[in-house]
Amino acid sequence: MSTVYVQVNLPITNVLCLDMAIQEAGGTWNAPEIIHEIRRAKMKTATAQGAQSLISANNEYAELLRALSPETIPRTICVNIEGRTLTFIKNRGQYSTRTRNGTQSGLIGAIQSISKLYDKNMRLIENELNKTIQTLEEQKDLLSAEQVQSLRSVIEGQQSTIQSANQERVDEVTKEIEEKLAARGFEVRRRMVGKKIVYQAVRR
Amino acid sequence: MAEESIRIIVHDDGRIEFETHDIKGEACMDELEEILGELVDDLAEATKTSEYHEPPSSQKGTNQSKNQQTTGSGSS
Repeated sequence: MSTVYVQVNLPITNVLCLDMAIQEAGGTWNAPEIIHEIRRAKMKTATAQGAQSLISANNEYAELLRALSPETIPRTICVNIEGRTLTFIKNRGQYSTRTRNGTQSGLIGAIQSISKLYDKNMRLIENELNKTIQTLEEQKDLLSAEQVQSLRSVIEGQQSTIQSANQERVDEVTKEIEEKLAARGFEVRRRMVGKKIVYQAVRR
Repeated sequence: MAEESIRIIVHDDGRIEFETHDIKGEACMDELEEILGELVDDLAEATKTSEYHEPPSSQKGTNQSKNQQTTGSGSS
């Protein structure tokens, strides 16, 4: 008798977004300390009273965002959802796990729910980011240099968390594609078109 | 013999698009499975053109299998 395993994946291109999605789906995970610190710092930016307090909160938040890199995210995470604990392993820029077919009732739905919430939150984060950039542009003449700088730091921190994690995924994916194409006898040409990497592989 | 070719685009947020030419029949999906099977979740859902249903010996053809897959998320 054979046992069939079903693979489920979680996106991690933005770990903050993943954190939000897991919480929103009613789950918990063993988030590293830096994620807890970022949650607290973000809360402070929302509740800060007065310009100096807001500048200080923004600076702290930005510093933590900059410190968040793929290296600070654990290779293995445990997600508690639907009364079960799943261990995910980081692989090719995303977390994945396998669960026995037939035992995953409700679980796949919960993981899909996290993925959908992830996408929703990702759009939310991008909208917030764009709004902050717009606000900064519109109000830069009214804000003090220190306020402008602190907002710029937050924007850069948010952008860097997205870009650094994406870069990790792109590096892993491209390495694997190049190796597999070569192993299967394809001649590969690689070029950049804007931010995209385009492979043209030919086998005669 | 016709050249078999695969064009793969990796976006800066990790999404993968791919398109094959002149790889006939099921060999096309087999080839894609070997190369992208572990990177693309729903490879079987790739859009198949009429060329997919041609026998492997056929020489003419254009687009065989084309798909865009979101493997991660991010700014796009």
